[in-house]
Amino acid sequence: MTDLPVAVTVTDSFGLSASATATVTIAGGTTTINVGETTVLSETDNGNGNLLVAQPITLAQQSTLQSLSFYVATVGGQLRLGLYSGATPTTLVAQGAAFTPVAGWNMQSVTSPPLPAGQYWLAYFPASNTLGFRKAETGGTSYFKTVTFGAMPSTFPTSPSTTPSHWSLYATFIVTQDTTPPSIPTNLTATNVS
Amino acid sequence: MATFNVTGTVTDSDGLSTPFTGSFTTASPPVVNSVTISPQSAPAGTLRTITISATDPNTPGGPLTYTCSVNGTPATATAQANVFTFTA
Repeated sequence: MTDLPVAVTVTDSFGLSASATATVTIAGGTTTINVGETTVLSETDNGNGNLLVAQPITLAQQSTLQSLSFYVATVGGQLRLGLYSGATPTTLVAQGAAFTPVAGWNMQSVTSPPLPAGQYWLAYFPASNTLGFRKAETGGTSYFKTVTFGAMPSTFPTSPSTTPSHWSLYATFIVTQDTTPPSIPTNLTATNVS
Repeated sequence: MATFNVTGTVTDSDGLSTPFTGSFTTASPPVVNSVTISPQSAPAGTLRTITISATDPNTPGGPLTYTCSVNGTPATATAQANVFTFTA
């Protein structure tokens, strides 16, 4: 069972506002899994301002995206994190708001409807070449394309470049466990075979 | 909304004076009476409806604007300003 915070704000015509909170409970036996690169890789990297980068992950079971986490070694400018689907990065599934990352792991709440198992792409999108992060030049094929920083495009840009690198970037998914017991078979018969 | 009455006197160097009166009001922020989530507890992937009940003490029935987010992600607005939906 997982509780998610609900935040509401009400504003009147004077601009005065009041806030309240509540909780949504995801029931039925849930667990979270991290998919992607959860370790702080050793090789430093930067200079990716206005570059939309996507690295592959495989989702083994239907899950709901809860958050995306990106490791920053050197702060500088804003960042967006998102998730694409497709055999290559194609369709934007979810993205977070632009934020100013801090040094270390930056977890952003990014949620989605339930996603079927399959191939997905963790995307990061820095605004500045100053932002520094960590990578390894292994891990499959990642895609990148120069795009002016802003909201991630709903469709990944055409004719992207590729690299064998991947970055310290992972997604946290909520996995719903099947807690429904199997039904009891009826009308069974047995035959003595000996 | 509370109203405050102001009274005073203006006096010049000749000792002549004129009284004045006025008033000002202070507005109170809106009141959130309840936040109802239906269903509040359900399996992942369930469409939930979030209904906010709020009142404006300054102008009963006056216009209010609402925002709502779940786990930091904006919920989906509906035709009713105080009702949102979200899949979680």
